[in-house]
Amino acid sequence: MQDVLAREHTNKQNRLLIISLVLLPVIVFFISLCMGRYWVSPGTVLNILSSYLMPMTPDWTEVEQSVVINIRLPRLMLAMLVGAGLAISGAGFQGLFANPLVSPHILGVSAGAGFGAALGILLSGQVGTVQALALFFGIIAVIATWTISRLKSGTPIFMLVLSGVIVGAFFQALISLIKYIADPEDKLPAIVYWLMGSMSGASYDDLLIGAPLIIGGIVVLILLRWRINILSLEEEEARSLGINIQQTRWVVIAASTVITAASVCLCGIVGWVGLVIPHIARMIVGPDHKRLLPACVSIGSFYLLIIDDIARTATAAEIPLSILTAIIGAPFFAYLLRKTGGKW
Amino acid sequence: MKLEVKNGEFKYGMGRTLYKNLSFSVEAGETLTILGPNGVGKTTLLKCITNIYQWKQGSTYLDGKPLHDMQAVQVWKNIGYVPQSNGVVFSYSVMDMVLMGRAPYLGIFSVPAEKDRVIAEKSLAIVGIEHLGDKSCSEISGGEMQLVLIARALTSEPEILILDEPESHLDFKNQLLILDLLKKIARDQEISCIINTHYPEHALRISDKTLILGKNKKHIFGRTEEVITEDNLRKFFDVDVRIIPFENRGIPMKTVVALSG
Repeated sequence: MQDVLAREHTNKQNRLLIISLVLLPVIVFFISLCMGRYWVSPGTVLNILSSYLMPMTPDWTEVEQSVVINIRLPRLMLAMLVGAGLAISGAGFQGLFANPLVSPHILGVSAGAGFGAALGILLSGQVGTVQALALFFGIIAVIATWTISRLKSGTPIFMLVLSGVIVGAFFQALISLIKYIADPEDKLPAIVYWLMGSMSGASYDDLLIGAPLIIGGIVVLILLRWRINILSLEEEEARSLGINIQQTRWVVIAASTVITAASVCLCGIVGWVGLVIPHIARMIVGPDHKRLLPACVSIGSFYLLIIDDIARTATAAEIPLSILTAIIGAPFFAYLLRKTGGKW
Repeated sequence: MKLEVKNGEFKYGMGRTLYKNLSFSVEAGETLTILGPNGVGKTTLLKCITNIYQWKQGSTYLDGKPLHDMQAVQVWKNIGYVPQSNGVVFSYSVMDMVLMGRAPYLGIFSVPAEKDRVIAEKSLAIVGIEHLGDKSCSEISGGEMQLVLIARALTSEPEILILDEPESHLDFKNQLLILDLLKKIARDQEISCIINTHYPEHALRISDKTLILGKNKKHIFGRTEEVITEDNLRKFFDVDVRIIPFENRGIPMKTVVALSG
């Protein structure tokens, strides 16, 4: 009887947890639509949004409509997608490598994509070219990592990590080279700014390309969520549970690569989210990837929304995201780490 | 289910040959112990048996069917493998860990359902740790962790259980607990057990058959009482031993004492 009561109690707690994890990003999303240098009241935002669903006579200005729909909406959607994507691929990689220190950048994808973007800025500066080159080189980097790490008998995990380090270092050096030769008046600041990450360029066109890639990757990882538990075991132990680890591993890597490369190509390199959000999610829902991955989607999107709110409202100029993700995230994580003693 | 190895031969890459013409078999519900000094390839043998490593010659057969012709999933539905426990990176709950044993039955995008949970709970009950289900794997003792790994293997509903030194770093009482449990599993569930161990006494205690691996590809296989003799132990382990029979509450037992190297 006590057992049943206890279980009912945890069930209730679970439901509450799930509801808050779903609602949290939605609420912050709505508040963020109001926020900015130009305040739009929640009622007006609601009316503007509803006017797309049903006919309404506008009692708001055209500026308000444009700010909410053309500027903030795509930007916030991008922030949520990227936050969710980086957090879930970070959690996927941490499980895959059975290493809580791993982030989505481990296989060199960000360095590759960063190089592609820097090259694009150097050569043309057109947004389309920059994004295409970023995506292209991000994927090239992971293919290079894969090629280096592959042995006849499959790919041991340490080969994969070391290959990622090699490829990452190589592309980092190429980024430095481009910075070195870039025009310091004009191109260099653009490159540096871009490499620190920003949502300011978000548009519906971007979303049209990026959203299917990021959402696709997230869906694949969510579907694999239970398998990642098994991938996190030792290689032979995982094999003895009858799963094809090489194959499963590459599906996780492919999904994470697509997410990360698409994110970097849309908004530059956003650090820290993919490393730390999985830990925070683990504190809340535990280490089981079945629960962890969906939680990362919620907390990642919530976190990047807030960071982006600060980035665009704190000062007159935009603050690059990677600065904020760590300046706000690091003390917060330090606090959690002290409080829990690293046990979660 | 009968497991049989015929004419097994294995070496790592270009390395020295570990075994040659190795043949042995275990019937349903029987227990086989594998003994041998460090470095002769006891753990490797378990991996060869299960096709994690591929035999260079010969093959493993399940009920007469060669293992290398079977799909991996099919193999792991029949064989439950209990590795040496090295601790876990992520502190999954005991229940989540045991549920992983259902992997061979679930599609790549599936998650365990209620019926899988029922099977996992049954396994926990068999090994006697149903009260630990909600505990985290980082909070339990080494002996309990070993039981969790056995429960996970049982959750695949195997017909053969293969265990790599299941009692090696446990204290007296826990060693006994594991050995008696394996004996019970073999008897009650008709599951054949194959166990690696360093202790000839443990072989005497629970196994029907024993395989001793030695250096230079030597080996001996047969009924435990015929294989574990003072002569054989001296030959394979290079130590002088005395096997002393005694009676405990009317049950004949044997102990093995090493005298000198």
